[in-house]
Amino acid sequence: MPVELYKMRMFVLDSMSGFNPTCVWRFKNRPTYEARMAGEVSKYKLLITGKSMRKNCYSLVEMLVVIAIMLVMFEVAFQFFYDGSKLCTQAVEKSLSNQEMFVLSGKFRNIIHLSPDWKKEGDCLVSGQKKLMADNSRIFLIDENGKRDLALLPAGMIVSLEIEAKDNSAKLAVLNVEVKGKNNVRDRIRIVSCM
Amino acid sequence: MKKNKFTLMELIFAMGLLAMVAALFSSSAYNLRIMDRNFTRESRALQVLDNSLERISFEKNADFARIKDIFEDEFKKSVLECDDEVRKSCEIRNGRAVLEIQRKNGKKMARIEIKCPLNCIK
Repeated sequence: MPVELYKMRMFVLDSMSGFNPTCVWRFKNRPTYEARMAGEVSKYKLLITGKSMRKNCYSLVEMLVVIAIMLVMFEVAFQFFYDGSKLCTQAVEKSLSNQEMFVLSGKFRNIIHLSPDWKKEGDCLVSGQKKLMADNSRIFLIDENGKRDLALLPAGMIVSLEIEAKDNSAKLAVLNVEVKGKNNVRDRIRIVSCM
Repeated sequence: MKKNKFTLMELIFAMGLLAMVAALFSSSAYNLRIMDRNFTRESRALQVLDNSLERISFEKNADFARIKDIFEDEFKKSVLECDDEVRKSCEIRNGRAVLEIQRKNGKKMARIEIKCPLNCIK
C-alpha cells in the first residue's frame, strides 16, 4: 500500500474513531496536504463505511436459514390461531346444535303423542292428515296448516325417521340424527317417542 | 452495529417467551377440545336418560329389572356405547332406581332417580 494512501486511511480511521491528537499534530503544519486529504476523506469514509456495511450483510445460506425459521414460525403461529378459532367456532356450533336437539326432541314427542297411529311410509311417518318428513338435514311436519320445519339443523346433519316395535314394549317412533365428523367418525343422536 | 447483535441472555429470554406463548396456546386449545368433548358427552348422556325416561313413563308397573333393561338398551343404542371414557350404572338406593352415567374417573355426568315400582320420578 502506498504511504499516502496508508496515511489517508489512518486519518479516516482516526477521524471516525474520534479525536486523535497524534493525527492533529501530524497534519497541523501541513494545511495544504490536509485540505487535499480532507477532500478524499469523504470518498474513503464511503468506501470504509461501505466495507463495514458489507460485513453486516448475510450470506445466502444465512438468509435461507432465517427465511426458513420465519416460515416455520409463521406456520406454527397460523396453525395455532387457525386451530384455536376453529375450535371456538365448533364449540359454539355444537352447543347450539345440542340445545336445538333438546328443543327438537320436545317438539317431536309432542307431535307423536298427539296421534297414536303413526305408520312408516318411505322416509316419512304418517298419521291421518299429518305427515312427518325427514329430508337430509331438514325435518318438517305437513298437516292441515301446511308445511313447517321443526328445527333448523346444520347442513352436516342427516335426519332419518324409524318405527321400532318390540313384543314387550310400546311402539317407538325414533328420530335418528347423524353428524358428520372428522375422519368419517360420526356422532349419533337418537330421540325416542312412545306411541 | 452493536445494537444488531443480541446477548445470549436476550436470546434465551426471547426463546423462553416464545415457548411460553406456544405453551399457552397449545394448552388452551387442548383444554378447549376436552371441554367440547365433555360437553358433547354430557349432552348425549342426558339424551340417553331422557329417552329412557320417555320409555319408562309409558310402561305400566315397570319394575327395576324392566327399568334396567330399558336403560341398558338406550345406552347400547347411543353413541356412548363406543366411548371408553364413559360408564353406566343402574342400582337401587333407598327404594329408588338410580340411573347414572359417569365418567371413567367416577364423576357424574347425568343421573335420574325413579321410584320403584311406580313411575313416580323425582
